[in-house]
Amino acid sequence: MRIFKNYYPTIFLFLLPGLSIYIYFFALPVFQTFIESFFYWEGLKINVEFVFVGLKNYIDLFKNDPYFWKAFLNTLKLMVGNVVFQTLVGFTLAMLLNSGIRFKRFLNIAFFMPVVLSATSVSLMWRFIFHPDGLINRLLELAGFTELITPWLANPVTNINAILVVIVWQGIGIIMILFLAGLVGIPKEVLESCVLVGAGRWDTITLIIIPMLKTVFITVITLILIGSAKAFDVIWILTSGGPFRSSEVLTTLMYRQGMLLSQPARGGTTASFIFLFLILMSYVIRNIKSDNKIIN
Amino acid sequence: MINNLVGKQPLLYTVIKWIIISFLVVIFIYPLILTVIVSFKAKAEVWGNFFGLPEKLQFHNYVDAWKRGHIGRALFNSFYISIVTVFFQILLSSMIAFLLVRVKIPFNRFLYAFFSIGVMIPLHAIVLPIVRKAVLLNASDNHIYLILVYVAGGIPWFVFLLSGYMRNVPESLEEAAMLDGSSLSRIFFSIVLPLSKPVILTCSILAFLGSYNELLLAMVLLKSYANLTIPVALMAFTGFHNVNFPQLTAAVTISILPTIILYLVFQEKVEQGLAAGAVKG
Repeated sequence: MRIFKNYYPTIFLFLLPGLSIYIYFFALPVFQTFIESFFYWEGLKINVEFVFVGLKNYIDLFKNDPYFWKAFLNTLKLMVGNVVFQTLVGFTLAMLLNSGIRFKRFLNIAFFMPVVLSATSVSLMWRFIFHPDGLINRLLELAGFTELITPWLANPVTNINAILVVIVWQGIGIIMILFLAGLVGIPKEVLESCVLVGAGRWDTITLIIIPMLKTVFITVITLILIGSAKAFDVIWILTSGGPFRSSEVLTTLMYRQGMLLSQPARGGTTASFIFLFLILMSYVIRNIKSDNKIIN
Repeated sequence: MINNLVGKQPLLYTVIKWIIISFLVVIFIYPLILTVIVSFKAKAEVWGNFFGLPEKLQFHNYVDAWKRGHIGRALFNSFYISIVTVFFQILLSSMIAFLLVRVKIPFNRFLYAFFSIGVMIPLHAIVLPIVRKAVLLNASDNHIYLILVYVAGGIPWFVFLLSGYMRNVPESLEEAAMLDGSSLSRIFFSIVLPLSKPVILTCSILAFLGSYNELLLAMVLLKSYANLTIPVALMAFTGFHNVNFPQLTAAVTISILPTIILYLVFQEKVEQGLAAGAVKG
C-alpha cells in the first residue's frame, strides 16, 4: 500500500499505544532481568546499588545453590517424560480419530476437554486423586497391589512422576489436534496405494505416515519441550516443589528465590537461565529442522 | 480411513480396540466427574463413601465455597479482567498487524521482528522486574496494572497470528478505498477488521482462556481478597492438612464451568485457537 503523508498521524495513533505498552511492560522487564543477572545487587529496596560482576551470579547459582541442579534435573525429567508420553499417546489418539471411528466428536471432546481448564483447577482435582486416601491408592488396594500404595505427592521418589502424569493428562489434547491436522493433510491416494502394494498397517504408519508428518513431529516435540520447561502452576499447586524441595523445578526455584526467600538477584539469574536455556533449545531445534530440509 | 481401506476387522480386534478406547475416555473424563460428585458430598462421606454417589445432594458446599473463597467476587474479577484484556490485546495487536503487513510502514521488518521475538520469551523472564515495578509505581494489588502486563504479554502472540492472516487477505478492496480517499482508520475499521473476523474470534478465545486461567502474575501482583482472580482464589482452599474437599471441588466446579461452556459452544474455534497459540510458541 502506498503511504500518503496525511496517513502519518493515524499511523502513530495505531502504533504507539501497543508499542509503548509492549516496551514498558514486556521488553524492558526482559532486558532488565537479563542485564541485572550480570550485576551484584541486594534487596527489594528502591535505590539499589548495582556492581558489575560478570558471570559471578551464574557461577554462584551453579556452584553454591544447593537446589539448582536438583531443579534442573527435574525440569529435564519433565521435558523427556512429556515428549515421550505426549507424542506417543497424542499421535495414537490422532490416528484413532482419523480412522473414521464412530463417536469421533465425543471422543475428540473428551480428550481435548482438559486443555481448556486452568492448570490450577486441574491440579486441585488431581491433588484429590493422588491424596493418600485418594483414587489411585483405593484402586491399588482394590487390585491387591497394596505394596504400591504411597502418598504420591509427599513421597520424594514418586512426586515428580505424579506431576508428569498431570501435565501429560492436561496437554495431550492439543498434541492430538496438531497431529490430526497433519493427518487430514495426507492425501487419500497415498494411503490407497499402500493398500494396493499390500503394505500392512504397521508399515504404512512407520514408512509412510510418520515420515510425511516429520515437520509436525518436530513442531510438536519443540513445543512440548518448551512447554514443560515453562510449567509452573501444576507443580506449585501439587507439591510447591516439596517435600524437602524434592520436586523443585527451575520455575519454582525462581519463584522461591525471587519472591519467598528475598534473593531477587539470584531469582533473576535463575529466570535469565530459564530464558537463555529456552532460546538455546529453540535455536538448536530450528537448526536441526533446516538441516533436515537440506538433506531432503 | 486406514481401517476402511484395509477392510473389515475381526470382531476380537474391534472389541479390544473399544475396551482400550473406553479405558482412555475414563482416564480423561473421570477426574472431572469425580470432582463434581465430591462437590455434592458431605465432608464425612468423602472418604467413607469414596466411590458412591452422594447420599444427599449437599448444595450448601457451593454456598459455603462461594462465601469462604470469595468466589463470586473472584469470578467477577476474572471475567472483567479477561474481557478488558482481550479487548485491548486484539485491538492493539490488530492495528499493529495492519500497519506492518498491509500499510507496510517504515521499519516494518524491524518492528515485526521486535514484536514476534516476544513469542519466544517465557513469562518468567518478566515476573520479578514486574513485581518491583509495581512496588515502585505503587500499583501492587491493582487490576489496571495487571491488565497492562497481560496486554503486553499477549501483543507479540496476536501481532504474529493476526499478521499471518492479514497477509493473505486480498488487497484490492483497500486499494479501491484508498483511491476514493478513505482515511486509514476507515480502511482498517470498515474493511480490514471485518475481513479478519474469523481469525479475530479465534484469537479472542485464545486470549480469553489465557487470562482467565493465568495464575503466576495474578498470584504475585494481587493481594487483597476483594481483588483476587479465580485461580488465585482457588489457592486459598489448599494447604496440606485438613483440606475441605467438598468445598474445594465445589469451587473448582464453579471455576471451570465458563471455560467448559465456551469450549462446547465454540468447539472448533477453541481447538484451532489453542493449536495456533501452541504452535507459534
